[in-house]
Amino acid sequence: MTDQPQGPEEQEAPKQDEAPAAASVQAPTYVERPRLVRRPDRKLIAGVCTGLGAYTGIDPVAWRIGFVVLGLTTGIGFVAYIVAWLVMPMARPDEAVPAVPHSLNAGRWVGIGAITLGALFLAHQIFGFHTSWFWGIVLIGLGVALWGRDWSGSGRPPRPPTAPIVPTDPTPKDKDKGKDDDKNKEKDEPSTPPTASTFFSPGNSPLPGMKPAETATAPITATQPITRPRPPAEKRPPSILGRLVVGACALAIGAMLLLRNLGVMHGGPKFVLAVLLAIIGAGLLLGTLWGRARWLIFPGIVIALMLTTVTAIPFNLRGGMGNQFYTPTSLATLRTTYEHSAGPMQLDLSQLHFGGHHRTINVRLGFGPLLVIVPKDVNVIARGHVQGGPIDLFGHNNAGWDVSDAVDHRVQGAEGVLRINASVTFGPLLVDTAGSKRIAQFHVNGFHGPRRNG
Amino acid sequence: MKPHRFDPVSFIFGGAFVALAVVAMVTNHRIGLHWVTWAGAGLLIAAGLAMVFGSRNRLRDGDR
Repeated sequence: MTDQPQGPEEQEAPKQDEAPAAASVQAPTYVERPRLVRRPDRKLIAGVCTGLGAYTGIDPVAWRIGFVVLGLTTGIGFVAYIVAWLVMPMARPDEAVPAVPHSLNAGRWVGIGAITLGALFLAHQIFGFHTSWFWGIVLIGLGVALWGRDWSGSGRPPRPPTAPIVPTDPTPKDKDKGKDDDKNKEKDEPSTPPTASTFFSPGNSPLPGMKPAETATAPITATQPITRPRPPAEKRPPSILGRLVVGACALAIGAMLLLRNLGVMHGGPKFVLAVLLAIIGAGLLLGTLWGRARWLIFPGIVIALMLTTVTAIPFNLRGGMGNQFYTPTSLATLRTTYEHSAGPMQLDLSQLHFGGHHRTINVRLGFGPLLVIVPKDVNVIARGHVQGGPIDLFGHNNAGWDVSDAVDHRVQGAEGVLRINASVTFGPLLVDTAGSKRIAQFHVNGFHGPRRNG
Repeated sequence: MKPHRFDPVSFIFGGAFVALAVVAMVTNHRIGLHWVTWAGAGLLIAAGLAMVFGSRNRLRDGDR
């Protein structure tokens, strides 16, 4: 910065007797370029986003969203914020700074963000595009753009003046006209000329502890860009569409509960969620032309996510909750299906004698650890699926999201064949022979089923 | 309810919600996470375009 703001003495308006001299010489009109500084006013943490917003003319909220998103997705946002914190100096108390913009068009920014996320998902699906490349390119582009702005000095929207502004030379005719105008104006308005501080946010000192008049006191000519205050938005009367939709949802839930109690309807949570989502969607479609209830989008998104989760993930919600232990002692008591909703589940088949028979069983658990103990003297064909968690079939282990595995475990002198189809929505799954160390370890790791020795 | 100009954002989300509800009610097949990602990407882009063009129209009309 070459031109720092002058002292109060130098910022005073030119006196009346100096005006003729100024008229003969074209006084240079300049606007000081503001420094990139952190701002103590309206700051949340260190004033980085407020300073960036004032410097770039972009609402600080957009900067904050950007830092948070970058921080949560890649961690770069947090590092960049700390670096900016260290690099950007704090604004001086006597430094003239531009007003912080607060004209964020939320719809536009949210739209741009949604398009970006959607494009990322698509790129990941189609090309296996890694997101770190994207963020790298974005950061480089942002840096180049800011660098280019510093060199070109253009591309910025008109901002309030930041330095004393020398009045331009009015022509004699204009001067006379101005005098007449002033005379007329004095009748209606106070004679205080508008100053640069007028353009800071109303009721907001640019910096704490600093009076607005200290920032700049020079009169502003008509050639300066003037930001007109935004007129208050006309308040729309509330639409009844939202209440209609909520009422319809309540009616639908009540009717479905009634029909379920009467035994007429057997729909599960998936059906209920689908009905609610259909009502909300119909309300939004109605709102495209009549009434307004955009807020329905948010509960709609929540219900859509729940419905998608219920539809996409094979939840097992059948069976009871809590600890569940099965220990069949003969093939006659061996069921084909064992289900449990939530809680530790153990199926101990070690006491069975197959005697050359073949059996197939299905074991399903919603949430919790599942342990299947098989006899030592049977061949076992085990298939397992875990939506989220670790899976271990006779020492063949895997872990992650939507994991499937199959193991053909054969022993010499087998008495029979046992086929096991085991699935757990969320939780660990272990299928192993009685007496294995892995079963003991499974118990140590938090499975609280009945322990077996040997 | 007063009539107003076409609202693309409500249209996009309303259509998507109704479509998802119908698919969930009609079919008993599980929707693979693969398709959920595709649908999510499409919905995000459509909603984003609707918001961008909607805000552009507002700016053009002087409603900031």
